[in-house]
Amino acid sequence: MSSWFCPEVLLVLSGVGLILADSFIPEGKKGWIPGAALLFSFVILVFTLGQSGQPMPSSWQNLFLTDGLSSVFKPFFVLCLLGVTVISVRTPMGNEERVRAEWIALPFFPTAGLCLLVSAHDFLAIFVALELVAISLYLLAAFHRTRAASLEAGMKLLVMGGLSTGFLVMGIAWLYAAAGSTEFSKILVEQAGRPATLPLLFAIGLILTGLAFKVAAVPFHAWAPDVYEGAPTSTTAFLAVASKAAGFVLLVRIFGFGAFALDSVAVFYRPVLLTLGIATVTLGTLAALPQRNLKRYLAYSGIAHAGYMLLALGTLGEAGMGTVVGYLWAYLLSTFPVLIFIQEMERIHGSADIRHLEGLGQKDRGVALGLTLCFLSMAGLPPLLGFSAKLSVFATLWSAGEMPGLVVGVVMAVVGLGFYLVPVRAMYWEREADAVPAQRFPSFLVWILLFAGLAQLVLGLQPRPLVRLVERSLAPATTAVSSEN
Amino acid sequence: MIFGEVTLGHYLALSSLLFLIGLAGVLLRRSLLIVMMSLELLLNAANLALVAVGRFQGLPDPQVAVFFVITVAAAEVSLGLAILVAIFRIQKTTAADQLSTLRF
Repeated sequence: MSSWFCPEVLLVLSGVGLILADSFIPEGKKGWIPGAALLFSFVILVFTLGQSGQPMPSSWQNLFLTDGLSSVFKPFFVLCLLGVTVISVRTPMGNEERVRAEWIALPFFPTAGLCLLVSAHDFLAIFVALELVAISLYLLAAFHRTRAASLEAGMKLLVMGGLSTGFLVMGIAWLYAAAGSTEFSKILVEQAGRPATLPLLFAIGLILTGLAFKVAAVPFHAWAPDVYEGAPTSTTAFLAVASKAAGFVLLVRIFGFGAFALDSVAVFYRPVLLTLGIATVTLGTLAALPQRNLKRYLAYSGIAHAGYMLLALGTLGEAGMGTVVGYLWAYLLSTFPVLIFIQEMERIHGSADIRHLEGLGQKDRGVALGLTLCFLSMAGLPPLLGFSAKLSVFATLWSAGEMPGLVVGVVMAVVGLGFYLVPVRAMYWEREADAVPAQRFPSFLVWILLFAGLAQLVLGLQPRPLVRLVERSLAPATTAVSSEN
Repeated sequence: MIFGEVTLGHYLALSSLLFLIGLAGVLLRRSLLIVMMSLELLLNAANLALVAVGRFQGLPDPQVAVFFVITVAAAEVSLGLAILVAIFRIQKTTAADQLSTLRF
């Protein structure tokens, strides 16, 4: 087996290793397991980064294929895993302390699934990888089995995830009926130059519905706020960043260069995607305004961001695909640090209510500064990275001549300023609430937040590295055509 | 027979009907057990379509795909029942509208 499979294999081996270590090592000697998990995810990140520049062959009869897109996003997911591990190490487990090792080891499996997902080149492979991710996430969401909110989040995620699986499998069945294959390049070659048949369009619609659940696009977004709020914070982080990003990578692959990058399909689905984008941006932005819980707030913020990405994707051009890739990295840098902060806030205050932010600007300057930079970047204020991301969405819409999408996007970006400034105002302009515990945030959190804030400032002023990353992601697979079956 | 020879169209129509019944069950029923049965019905509707397409077009791939779907559905339902048991221990009910800890 060729070397490109390594991140996935290493992830699964680490996860299994940690669980086995937990079973065979006597109680009282398990203190090193969290440290080992952090070390493993860091080593895998370095390994994945080192590997991502090399040209790599396809494997298993073109079920999996490594191209620019997958080599750019595997480090993304492993970075998410590192962040998730930081959060799960810091999660208070209450009377479930004895299952901490499992709790820390479990996120390795959905990460492996995500890495497989972005290199999948066949809808059947997508189905299997997606279920590996989804089933692990149901378990992670419902992990605190004595807390009603966590169980409820797990159940809602399971029902919604099951529904999306149903749509996806039905889509695959219709795709077999319409195109006789589920392999991307075969569909592309066979259907090129032909008018799209009704069964094919129906199959694409079913598959798109399945994926719209995963990225929480309106009208399939209703699960997101409830699940984000009820699930443990590390699971929320995984869902909000990694799982959403995977959905978009899949959409980029399918509509950008994979199976459905056909003119006959684009004529029909371009307006559909743009309408989804307009609805998602509008609802995400407006529903975020009255939120008082930081996790629900991030859920609606994530829905709004998904809307911008759908608008860029909906233009179905290469520029739109590149914009989505860049936007996802900007989203990771601005959202993930806030989720790590939420975990620490829950440790100190017991909930993620926005009013716990009050007075933070005076009490803990470093944390407040880092958080402010993250929120302003989400809002899209210059000179931060979020501004460049939103600007490239608007530029894409402008050059594609999509005026309705552009107008709604700009208006909602301005409205969005209002709700992204709510936490900033709470930190600097509100008096500290009365009974605030005097506990301070740990210093690693200050460093993470300041580093993320600085990265967004630097990348916002000088987006050259990100542009290069985007260019690399759009490079075609090195062996897509000449692979020997 | 009343319908003449059974064709692929008949199978696809039946599977679509099952899919719609499953969808209605997920969206409308109040008991979580029935919701999970309906989820299974969704996947089985897709399985029927896969098998029929494989049979009529002479393709082996869709019929193999069914095994993947069955396996995944089993994993999903076992996890779902485990969560359901845990919910029942806390809330003493499996009605979906009792799940209202998370409301804005």
